[in-house]
Amino acid sequence: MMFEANEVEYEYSEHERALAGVTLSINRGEFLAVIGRNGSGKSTFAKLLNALLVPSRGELRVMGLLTADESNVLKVRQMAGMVFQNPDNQLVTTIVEEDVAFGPENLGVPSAEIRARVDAALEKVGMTKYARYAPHMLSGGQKQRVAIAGILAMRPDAVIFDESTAMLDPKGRREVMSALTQLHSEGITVILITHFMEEAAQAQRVLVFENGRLALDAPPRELFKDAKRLYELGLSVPHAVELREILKDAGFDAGSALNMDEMVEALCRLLPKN
Amino acid sequence: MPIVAEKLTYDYSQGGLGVTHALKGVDLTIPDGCVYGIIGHTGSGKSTLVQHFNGLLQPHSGRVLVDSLDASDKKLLPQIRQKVGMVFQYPEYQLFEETVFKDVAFGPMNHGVSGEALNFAVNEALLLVGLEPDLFASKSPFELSGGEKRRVALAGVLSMHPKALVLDEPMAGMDPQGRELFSQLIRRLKADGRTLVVVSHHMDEIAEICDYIAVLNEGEVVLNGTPSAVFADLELLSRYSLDAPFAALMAHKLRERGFRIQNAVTVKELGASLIAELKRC
Repeated sequence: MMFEANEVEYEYSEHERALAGVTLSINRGEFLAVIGRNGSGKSTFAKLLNALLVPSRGELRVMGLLTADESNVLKVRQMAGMVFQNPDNQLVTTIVEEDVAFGPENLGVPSAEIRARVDAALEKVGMTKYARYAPHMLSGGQKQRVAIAGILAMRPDAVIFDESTAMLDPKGRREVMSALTQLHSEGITVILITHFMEEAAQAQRVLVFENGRLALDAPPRELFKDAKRLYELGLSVPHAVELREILKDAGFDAGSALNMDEMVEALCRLLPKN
Repeated sequence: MPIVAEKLTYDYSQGGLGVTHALKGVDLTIPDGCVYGIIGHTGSGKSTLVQHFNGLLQPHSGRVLVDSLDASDKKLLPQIRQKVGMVFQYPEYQLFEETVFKDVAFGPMNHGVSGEALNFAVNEALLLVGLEPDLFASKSPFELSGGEKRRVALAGVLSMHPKALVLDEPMAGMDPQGRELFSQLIRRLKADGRTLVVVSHHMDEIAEICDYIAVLNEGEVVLNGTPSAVFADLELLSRYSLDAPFAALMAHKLRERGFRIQNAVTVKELGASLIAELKRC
């Protein structure tokens, strides 16, 4: 089991309970999306997963290690890395490859191995060419890819993306999403916190938070069946589902299409040939 | 209130590394009372361009006319800044007063507004962004949710009664409901007769709210027009590292498969044209 939460509760202060009664497990190698309105507790949940926060009550385990045990914290952060929202405040050095080396250096990895890890990580995110660049010369998407490489150099079991595409242009979003899918295809557990339903629809499983509680936990195809329920939760549905609903109201059944390609196939069966 | 850029150029000096030509002769007219979207990849010059619209940056050549006033005339700056309100990215980080009232009152107070007139301006601005003054005016901005804070920041600009608003990535980081409420707000401000300039990376958002769009690439306006005109040439958009909205991409894919589908930029438009086609069966 990659992550196990048992009755996890978190309060920022006595009056501010951000999360309560969260019990769930996340398998190794899963691609999981987390959605919910602003203030629903989803970012708090993400921060609990790599011990940036520890539960006020209840237990959270990462690969069996209790995050509340201080002696586990470094190990937990190596196993579960986090990519944040703002590409401009997670790179700390003046040269890309030094930034990628920062994590393994702190873990005490021997320098010959650091070199190999840095090269492999940069290659994986397609940034080898930029190894000697200054981070401020890069685009937003490139900076996020360097941040991902920095985590990969620590050989993580899971990578958590906390709205990592929110500040990027369309090309940057595509770059980050494609790096993310590649990590998943290589067996790394991927947790994606997002406000974008198109992104959530790509996951295998979606968690929905509402008022600090886990409200729904389902595969996207099942979750997005009930558009009304999602609107009630302050969320929405992928564009393909929105279109599917419009057609359904007019009496046309486009099946369970979840994305553009599936919608095109469904419509090819329905539309009259010219 | 129209905003016009004529042959506008602006360069950033890079210390010893030479010069970046951020704007290379931009000609653009933003007509009165419309919602005008500006799109382009990071570094294409969008933010540099819009910072000229209220005199935060001065052109290196060419000029900017705000309601026919030359924005490079330093004497006119106070007037121009009152006419054009600027809302930066993540404006909630700029709240600094103890109460919502004081934050929203800051601008008009600096312009000598006080007493009942000040109360009126603050209440009006709060109502406009959908925050009930009785509930919110005496709260600390730090007690509010992210979406509410952003509304307070916007109210702080609206309390100056600007005729035009420039919004840089106004919906970044907002949840779907927040984005929906914000699009409604933009429509309300437009109905109220204001001119709005919106910078965004989200093509679906832009297609939904804008009357016109300009595409910026390497400091030049390479394309402008209505959303359906701008989002018609997918190949061109991808050359500028941009996307098209879902509906435009989908209509294109269906046409490639031999179906006769009209161009659409919103899901609603696409739905309507698909239903019309489906009914032909």
